[in-house]
Amino acid sequence: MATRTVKSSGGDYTSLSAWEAGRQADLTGLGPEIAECSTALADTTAVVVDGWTTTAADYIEIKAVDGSWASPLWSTSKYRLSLSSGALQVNEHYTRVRGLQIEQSSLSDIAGCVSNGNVSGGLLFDSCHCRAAAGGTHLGVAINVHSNGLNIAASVVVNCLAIGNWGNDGFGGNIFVRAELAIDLVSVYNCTTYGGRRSIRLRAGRADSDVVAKNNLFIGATSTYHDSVGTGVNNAFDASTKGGTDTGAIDLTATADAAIFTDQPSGDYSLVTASAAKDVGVNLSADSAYAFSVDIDAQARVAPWDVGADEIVVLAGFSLAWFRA
Amino acid sequence: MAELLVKAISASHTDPLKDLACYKAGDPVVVQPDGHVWGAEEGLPRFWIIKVPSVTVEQALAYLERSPDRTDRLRRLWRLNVSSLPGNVRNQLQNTGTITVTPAQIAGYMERKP
Repeated sequence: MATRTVKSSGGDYTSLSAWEAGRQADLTGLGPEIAECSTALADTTAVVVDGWTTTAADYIEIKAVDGSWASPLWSTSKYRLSLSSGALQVNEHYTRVRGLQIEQSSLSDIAGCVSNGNVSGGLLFDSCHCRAAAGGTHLGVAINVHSNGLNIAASVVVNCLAIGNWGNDGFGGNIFVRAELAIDLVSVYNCTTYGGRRSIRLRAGRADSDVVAKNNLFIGATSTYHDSVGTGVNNAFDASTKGGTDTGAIDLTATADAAIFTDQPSGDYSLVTASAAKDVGVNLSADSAYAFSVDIDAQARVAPWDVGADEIVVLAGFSLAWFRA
Repeated sequence: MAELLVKAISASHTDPLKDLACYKAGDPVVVQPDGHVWGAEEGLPRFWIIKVPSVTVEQALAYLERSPDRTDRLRRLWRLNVSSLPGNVRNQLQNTGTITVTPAQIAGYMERKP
């Protein structure tokens, strides 16, 4: 295993792109290759992860550390990828992206914050805060997991935020998952989206069960929240739904944003203490596709789970929401 | 006003399509402003640093151009033409990893890939 740091000063690299260029290799038998991103660095060079050889044991991991881990509130005091277009493109199997803040400003670029191509699976996008940098109507999608005509196996998007008016090319959404020739699951669990033409779009080429969205919090979409061929389970929403299999949906169309989020207008998507998203999720700690038990803040989820990326954690009469305030 | 981080050694892959995505010696990777404090591995043996005090960051960013076709896996459309560099320039890069050049020199040293 090799770990390198990406930080504004005093580290191995001063941009994630340079790390990727410097460390690009055949990892077979070498163990994981890890980039640890930190400090208040606005990293402005687009990153493409490609040209490597990976295996399930010899994977690539890009993660935030030392206080730079993403949260429901965007922070300029943390590491972030900040691009006009195509911030992070992952073309390698077995790549994990964890805890990153990623933003994009271009309205016309279809790549979005995080996308993949030429990949057959093993992707993990965990606890990333992806947003439109400057408002406006974006054609692209914030988080895109797309099989590109290949089999896409066992990929996961979990505890992520996709914020902004995305998916206006008429095709995608804030999150877009497409598994055309699926041989395994693509799972979207406990994510929060706000805005967008669609909150999420699932496209399963073979069967609804190949792409599954559970416990997500889909708020503020202008069209539909789940325009899909796929499976939705226990998602909360405030827009119409159509297509696919959708069970246990939680209708929040009559619920004000202020009764869900701490301060949505200011970009704080943590849950307000008595949020309508609280205690309405299902426990995924033993999920057969992807088992986990924490939220975006790495706080242990407490049964009954909340939907979305954030979990309200009450400690002896206090909640994290109060401390954030 | 700009500094370019340029790959000094080539990566390769047995799959020809993936080899296209491997950075080759001479490929520009990142542009930073003058005086940037580079990281510990942003230098020899992996990288060269080319300082161009009279070129703005915005101008230098043109050398990071990629194909607009996202299925094209080629990393960069431009490269430092290492084989045609003057001997003293190539020696300095190989020995120190850093060189300072004029706008005319950088324009002559960079080439658009065929």
